[in-house]
Amino acid sequence: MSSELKSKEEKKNGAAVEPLVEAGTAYAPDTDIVEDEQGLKLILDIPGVSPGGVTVELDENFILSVKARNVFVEPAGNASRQFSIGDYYRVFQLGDVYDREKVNARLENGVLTLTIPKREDVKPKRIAIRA
Amino acid sequence: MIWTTDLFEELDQMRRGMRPLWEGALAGDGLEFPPVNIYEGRDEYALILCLPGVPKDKVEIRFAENTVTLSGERPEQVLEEKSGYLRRERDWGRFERAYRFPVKVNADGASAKLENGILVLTVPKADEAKPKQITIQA
Repeated sequence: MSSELKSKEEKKNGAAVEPLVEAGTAYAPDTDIVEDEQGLKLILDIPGVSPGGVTVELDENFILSVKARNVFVEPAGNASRQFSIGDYYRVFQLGDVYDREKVNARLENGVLTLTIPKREDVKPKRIAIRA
Repeated sequence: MIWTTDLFEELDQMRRGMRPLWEGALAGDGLEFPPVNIYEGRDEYALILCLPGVPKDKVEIRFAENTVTLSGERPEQVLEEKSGYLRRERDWGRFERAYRFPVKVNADGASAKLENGILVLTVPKADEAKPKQITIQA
């Protein structure tokens, strides 16, 4: 399964972008961020979101925003709730070492995984020692 | 017998940990994961569990004596070598929740669906527990 990945460029080119998340109804999803030499991996819990309901943007200032529409329909009846059903929205400020063109997004079982590689020129280089 | 502060703290933690959702709630394990919503309709109950990232085969639902037990596991993420967490907010591990229904339910008619990380368990009330409509005779 893959989720939609829309860049600002696409927006400028006139691709239809509907407002995914309405003001005042969004929740910040629980997120794990894992870093290694290759880049970042962000794992976001967004239960209730189906593939195609996610917009991920990484803008020129390296602000990463994730918006997701919850399509789950609550059952009828009197409720006792430990969680609320709503859309998701969260913003992260990243460093400028990442490759905006190579962001990968995958949505599976309500978990969104973003893989954001570092630019080749900032990855650690191994230097061979001459004899 | 001397009551120590520790015991009171423990009791307090127990009390805060147990979150009875209705009068008949048997157990809450005190863990954040997974949150559960319960809905009572006219003819049925619905339990909704937030289980993002939990595959279908990791969830078990059992009925006994008008009580449903939901258990399962969200596996801990295995990190590759030379990587580390910058932020860790998602819960993981084993869970078990048991709920006793306040009226008799028809366990055979129960159905469960896990979609986009949300589990929906629907349990119809037993026929004798459903509200009856009485027609007024002329």
